[in-house]
Amino acid sequence: MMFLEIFLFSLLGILLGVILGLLPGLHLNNILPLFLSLTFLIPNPHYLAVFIVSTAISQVFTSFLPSIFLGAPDGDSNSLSILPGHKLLLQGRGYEAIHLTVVGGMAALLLSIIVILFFGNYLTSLYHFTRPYVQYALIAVVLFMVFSEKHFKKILSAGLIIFLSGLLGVLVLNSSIVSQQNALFPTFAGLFAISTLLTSITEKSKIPKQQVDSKLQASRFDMTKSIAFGVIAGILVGLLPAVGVSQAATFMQYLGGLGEARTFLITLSGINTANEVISLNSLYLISNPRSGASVAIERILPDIGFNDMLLFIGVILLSSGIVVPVTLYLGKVIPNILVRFNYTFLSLAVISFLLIMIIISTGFPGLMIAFTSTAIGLSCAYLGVRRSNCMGVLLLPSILFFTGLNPLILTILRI
Amino acid sequence: MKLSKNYVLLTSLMSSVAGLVLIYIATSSIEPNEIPISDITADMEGRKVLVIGHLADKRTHEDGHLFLTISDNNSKIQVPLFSDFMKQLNKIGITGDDFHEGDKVSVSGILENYKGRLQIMPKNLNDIKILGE
Repeated sequence: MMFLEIFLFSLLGILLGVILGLLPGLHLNNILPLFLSLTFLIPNPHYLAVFIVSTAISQVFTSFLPSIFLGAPDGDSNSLSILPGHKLLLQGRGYEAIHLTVVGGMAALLLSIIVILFFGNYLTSLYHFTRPYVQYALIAVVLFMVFSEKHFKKILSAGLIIFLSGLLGVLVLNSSIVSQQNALFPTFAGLFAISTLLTSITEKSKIPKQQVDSKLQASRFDMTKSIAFGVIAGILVGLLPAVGVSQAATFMQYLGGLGEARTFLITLSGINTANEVISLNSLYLISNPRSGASVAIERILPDIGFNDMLLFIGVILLSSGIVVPVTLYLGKVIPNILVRFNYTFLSLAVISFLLIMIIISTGFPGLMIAFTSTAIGLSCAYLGVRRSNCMGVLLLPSILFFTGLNPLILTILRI
Repeated sequence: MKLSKNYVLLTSLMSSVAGLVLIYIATSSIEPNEIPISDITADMEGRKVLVIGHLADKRTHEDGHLFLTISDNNSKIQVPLFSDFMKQLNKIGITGDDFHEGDKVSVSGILENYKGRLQIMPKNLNDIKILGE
């Protein structure tokens, strides 16, 4: 293996990761099948694996840019639950929000690498110890999501959204109407991206003038606590199936009293990067892939050894070292670009782009899935409950899988 | 024009339910066509396929999984039946002992790739049928 080639493929991965991160709704998982079909063009499978690792890690950082700068509801609206990033954006502190995600993400990334290198064996034991109890953990997550709402009406609303999105997940993940490799793209695009953009259009969202300074309005203690919570939750999410970053962040928010938008963003970003680091190394740690990227790497490199893990860690460090300043720079310039555009036009352009991608990758059935998932996402927004309830789309199918009830339910449903 | 939030909510909820019903109808009505094993290729991964062939090999794992190899003409494909699936099959009266080498079987399921090898993963208890010897 040549260092220069590894470096070059890492740079290409970073470039793609930045582009994918900037395009809302588009994820590395959606284009992995294309990469895998090009394997024969690349002389050494390690190069492709390095490319995937650097893309995955770069996207984690840059994906906060559209999620903070796009889709914010009207600042005067009280009826919708405003996401922490949007809250800061509407206060003119969008750049600080990006800065916080970069700080939280980078610190969690470094700490999770230390954990892997020095406590990897314990992670393996933790995984094997918890595996028989995964279904109970998932049921507990669902109960927590429902009953952490404060009012009876909201509890019912959260339950309804988890049920509807869960049912959608069961149908989509076990159906042949679209290829299983692409099934989650229209589902997630509708639940989280299109519905948020539509909500922001109807709310006549307008981004206020942004202050660009390097001030982080969070105490050192709060930042340290948020990063620690992020690393712990990220490692658990990386090891456990189906539990998503958003549930872990919500849980940590309650556990650690991280109610403030800034601490929440640090934790959320920390969970994201720690989860990605663990997932990318899951093949070595637990001999099981834990993300779309690690599934692809398993195909390219069936036998991952310690040296491969070291290579991946090196690529993760290199990629994050380059993508962090890039993300901060984009965080400064993006608001200036956005104010020149009509927000409604921009949102409609993004929605059109997503719909075209959905039609190309999944055809009419994918469009039907996107329509349904968008309607569920909109219902969630207008019921005023947390968007993470839509993660029922993975939770319910996973609970059925781990309780062994999936074949029975599918037989009853005749699908 | 400013739409009332209740109106949008009601429309969204009704669209969610209507969409789920449509997806359910599409999912339950689409049956995969029978395909020879030799025609199965990697680019079909993630799709539901149906093959009819003979049971060429049967391997039982100590954890209760059953690994079947189905063959038609000169082609073969793996069909893993994991312990959870076997437990559910047992409840409807089908056990590992009911599968005999040489049996004609019909298997449908999602085509998956496991460490570079394609395999059919049955999901529904009706996805696997023993058609006789």
